[in-house]
Amino acid sequence: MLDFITNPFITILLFLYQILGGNVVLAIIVFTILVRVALYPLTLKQHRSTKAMQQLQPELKKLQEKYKNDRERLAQAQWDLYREYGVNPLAGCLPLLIQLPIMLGLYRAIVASMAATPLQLLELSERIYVHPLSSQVPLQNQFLWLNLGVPDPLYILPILVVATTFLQQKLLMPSTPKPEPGSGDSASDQAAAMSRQMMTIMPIMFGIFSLSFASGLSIYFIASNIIGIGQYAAMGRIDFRRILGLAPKEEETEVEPVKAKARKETVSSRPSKARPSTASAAVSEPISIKSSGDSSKLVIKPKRAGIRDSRAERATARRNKS
Amino acid sequence: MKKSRNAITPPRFVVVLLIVLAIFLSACRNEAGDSWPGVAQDPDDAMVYVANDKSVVAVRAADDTVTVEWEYSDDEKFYAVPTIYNDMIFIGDYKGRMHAINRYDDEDEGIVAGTGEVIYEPEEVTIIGPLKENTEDRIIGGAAVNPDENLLYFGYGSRDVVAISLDPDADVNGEEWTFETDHGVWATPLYVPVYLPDTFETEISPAPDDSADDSETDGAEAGDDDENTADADQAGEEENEETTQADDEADVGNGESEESTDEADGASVDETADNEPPGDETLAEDVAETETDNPAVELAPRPNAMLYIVSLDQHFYAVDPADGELLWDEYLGGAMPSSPTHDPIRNWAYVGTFGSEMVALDLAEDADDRVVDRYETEDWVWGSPALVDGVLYCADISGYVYALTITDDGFEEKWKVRPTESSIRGAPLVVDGLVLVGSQDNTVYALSTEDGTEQWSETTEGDVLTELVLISVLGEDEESTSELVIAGTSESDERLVAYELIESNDGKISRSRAWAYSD
Repeated sequence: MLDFITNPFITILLFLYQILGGNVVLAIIVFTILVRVALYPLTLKQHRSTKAMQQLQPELKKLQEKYKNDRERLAQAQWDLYREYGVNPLAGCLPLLIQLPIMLGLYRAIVASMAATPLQLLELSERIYVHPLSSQVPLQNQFLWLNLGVPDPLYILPILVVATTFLQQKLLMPSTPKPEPGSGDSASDQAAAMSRQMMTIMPIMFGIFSLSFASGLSIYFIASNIIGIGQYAAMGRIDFRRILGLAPKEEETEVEPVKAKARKETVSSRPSKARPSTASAAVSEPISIKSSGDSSKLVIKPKRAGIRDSRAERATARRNKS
Repeated sequence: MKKSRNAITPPRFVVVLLIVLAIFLSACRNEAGDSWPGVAQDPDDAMVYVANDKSVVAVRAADDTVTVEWEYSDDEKFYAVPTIYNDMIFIGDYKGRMHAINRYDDEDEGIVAGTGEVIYEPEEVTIIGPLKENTEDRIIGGAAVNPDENLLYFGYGSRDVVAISLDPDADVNGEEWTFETDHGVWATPLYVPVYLPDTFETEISPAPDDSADDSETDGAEAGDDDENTADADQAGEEENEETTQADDEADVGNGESEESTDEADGASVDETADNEPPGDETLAEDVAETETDNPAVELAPRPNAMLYIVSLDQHFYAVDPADGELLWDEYLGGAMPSSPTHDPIRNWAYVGTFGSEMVALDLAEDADDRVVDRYETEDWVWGSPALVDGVLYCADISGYVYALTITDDGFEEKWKVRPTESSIRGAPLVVDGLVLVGSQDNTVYALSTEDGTEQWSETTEGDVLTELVLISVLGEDEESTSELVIAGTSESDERLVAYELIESNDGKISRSRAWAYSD
């Protein structure tokens, strides 16, 4: 199903293996770096979207409290809030959806390249696009104590996989404060609980994979986790203090009104397609949101700050006229 | 009614994605299976042995039926080619254990056919406390027998070759020696016994002292230098006899190359004995059997028994069969998953590689250039080549079949055809002027040995990646014999399928389906 991704990846992996002196571990690491770098723009976009969602949480919480008995109005109010701040709640998933087949292709390429049985090797032969590279097969499967075609008998790699996956999860997961008893914020509680569960489930899941799959794949998991941590660290998005159990650093982040400028320029020239807002004010003012988790103030500028909602004005005008 | 846009929160969506990911990853794991059935035949007894998944089955072939004689089961997988030696079958499993299975009942000894035991298993190595390194490994290739020293050689999927004693009193973990390569050894090691012709008077290098220990006839081949030189004539005679036996046994033990050499035997007997007198190019392992009767055939002397090991590490190794000492090795630039085929006339070996080459090597101990010639193929050559009447037949996984005439300079292409675009994995079977190959497209192709033109093809239920085997069976009148070509397939409904070769009035060889065995 993913052969159109997997097969070129196998060829690239074999090429790297050839130019890196027949070191399959090095080839896997370099290949993982290349793929992660190529996917960096998507990762960045996903992260921004997640961050924005995180910053809207206090506001969402208020809405949830306000409309806790009316789900329909709550949904509408949430949607308006997202629109107002230019945040798409599913925008974080789109890059993930694009990345997923690529990462799966990479995973399959590594599994296929580590062919350990005759039939796997025969299948691999059909996947190599550049014929001269096929003489490299089968890849050298010995590295230190490891036979890369079978699971690590010493369980060192599975432990490292669990540790790095947990670390990555811990570093990248937004800090979710524990809900106060009786707060009544069930949706938020559920999301927080789910986040905490993921932080446990993910490392265990990958640890189990490492116990039963070729250890070459464990190398990939570890490399991928470390590179992922490195990428986010380079973006300045990692709070190492949280890992050490120290108080998180104070942050004041602004969600950029990304498209506001462009729209501001065009708003007067074409009719807006924005949905009628339920907000009473046609002109939004910047609001200040106080995070429930710490004392710092998160200032989020509404995306449409200063923009007149001409459609709402026209609707009001029509009502007044009639 | 408006749909709530908060129905799927990002974390829940991610959890769903994770589940999908887990399913994908799990599904990917066993996308390709393990291997294809290992098939071997005992031509003297019309028995065929097939190893697949967790059992080894012995079936008795007749011209129109097949009956199961016994089944040996275990909790681990078998895909290696069974090795037949005397009344035993030796086969390795995917846990690295070597099994010995009784072929026949023996009431006096209380032996029941199809029963067996593990005669070797890798040891568990304790690292620290309860932490143990599991050294188990797959045995993918067959085993080779050294009847002179009662040793069994087999390779492991990761890197080692192990020699164990066939002495009934030997320990289960009693290795005689191990030899380590840099990658897996999937090919059956090739044991080549001593051969000294009567006229061999040149200086003989001494055979290893160890080799004289247990063999009854070892005095001739494994005595000291003086003894060899002084008793050259006697030694020659004894060794001729022994070589005949040993070649037979080495052939039987050659696993993947076994079929090709046995197949070569069948063809060679027919063609050289009945149709054409053997010339200088005439060759096959069976030539050794008739060498004393055929003075026209001169075999190259082999003063020392040798064990040849080919590895996925792209090296061809020659080791001392007695102690596993490396004597020489040659880098060939491509992994070798199948056994080399030995040419006793020239004392050369032919081996196909994943470097898309067929390579001829000079096995003489004093050879200056080990590699005699290289022939470039279109793709990986996986199966062992078949050597019949001085022509080497091989196939590659792009579906090409090659016939290469062997000359003093190496290879000379006779013909090259492509009957299919699917993989031809196994060794070609040469019989009655036909080259038979099995393909991944569920078809057995029969080509003319003369020019490679397709004579016929037969479709099977599953892909034919195993070696084809040839067996002669008695007809219903118990006088006439029929030749059956047997193919192993990946489908359980047709695990074995047999075609009877029929000669028509115009001399062409046709076929009819004889039977199929399902497990």
